[in-house]
Amino acid sequence: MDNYQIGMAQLYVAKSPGIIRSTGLGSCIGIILYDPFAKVGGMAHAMLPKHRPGRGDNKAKYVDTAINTMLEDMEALGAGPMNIIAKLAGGAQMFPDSDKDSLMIIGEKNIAAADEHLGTLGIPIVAKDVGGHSGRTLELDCRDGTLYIKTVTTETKI
Amino acid sequence: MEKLNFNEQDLLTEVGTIGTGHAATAMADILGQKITITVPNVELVSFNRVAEYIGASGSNLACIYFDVLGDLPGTVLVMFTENSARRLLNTFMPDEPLIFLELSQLQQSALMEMGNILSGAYLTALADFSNQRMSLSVPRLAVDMAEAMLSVPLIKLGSETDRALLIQARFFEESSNRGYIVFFPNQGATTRLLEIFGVGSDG
Repeated sequence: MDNYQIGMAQLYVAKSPGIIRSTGLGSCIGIILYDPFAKVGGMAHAMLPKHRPGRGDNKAKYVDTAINTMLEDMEALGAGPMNIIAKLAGGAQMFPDSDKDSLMIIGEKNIAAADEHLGTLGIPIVAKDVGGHSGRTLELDCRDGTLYIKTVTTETKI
Repeated sequence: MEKLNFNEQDLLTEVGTIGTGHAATAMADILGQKITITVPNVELVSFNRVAEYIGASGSNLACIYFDVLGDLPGTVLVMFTENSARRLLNTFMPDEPLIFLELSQLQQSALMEMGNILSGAYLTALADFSNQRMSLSVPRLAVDMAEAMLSVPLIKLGSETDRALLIQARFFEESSNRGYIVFFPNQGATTRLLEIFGVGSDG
């Protein structure tokens, strides 16, 4: 069985019964794409909202290019572009913000970028667990698309 | 920058050693006990391997975050494992009940103050040694997953690079009580540090 751990600025796609995990997302955003018919899933641990020229070639680092890359990789595994749904988790603000500097709200920017890019592509976001002040560990079960989310004090699934 | 050469590594280790030496002294003064601190590790590490490299992956830590301002900007994190945070807090307030994930205001203040003293000593030494102006922001504290907190300085570097330069040392090495002090210079600050000490990238 495919059982894969991704780190910051990485992505992975897998078929059922694969499991994709990522530990300790803070302000980064976890973007989960899933085709419930082909049972093909993908997870990206993206750090920043938008890729721009001169920002290197790591597509998993940016929300927009991570989504595009996952779509291509999932289609190669048999996913149908019209069947894909999305879930989002992460985008926390880890440290309390005293002066509203832009770094501290990068989590919100990542969430907004994912909303916007998925909206443009017409991919529905069926569930979200975003924002707040806690890190999250994610586990996607590609058998049914369930996303398990742990913080230091809570466990949930969406 | 893809890799540090021998001279760069050597120089940055020396810079880190001066800083951590001062930090250890400051901490020993407060605690009234000898503090052991490791020689810093200096390495360019891929983002996805930073927590593992520091030796903190999968653990919950108390982390005090500082922006470094001035000529060599970056981020400093001072991090304590649960055991080392307990050890510190028990020294200051032995009677206060302690739940690591729900620290009281007073306990949070004490840890931030400890972070202030450690990072202040560290950076003052570094600023004096390099003859650069450096100052620290106010401390910010979180108790959470190591990876989640480490993501904050990495995101700051993220638009420029896929690797972070880490100058990190561990203290309380003698037991499971572990603390970390990590300086993440910005890309520009790293170049400047190397220039100040005359270590070229091809040296």
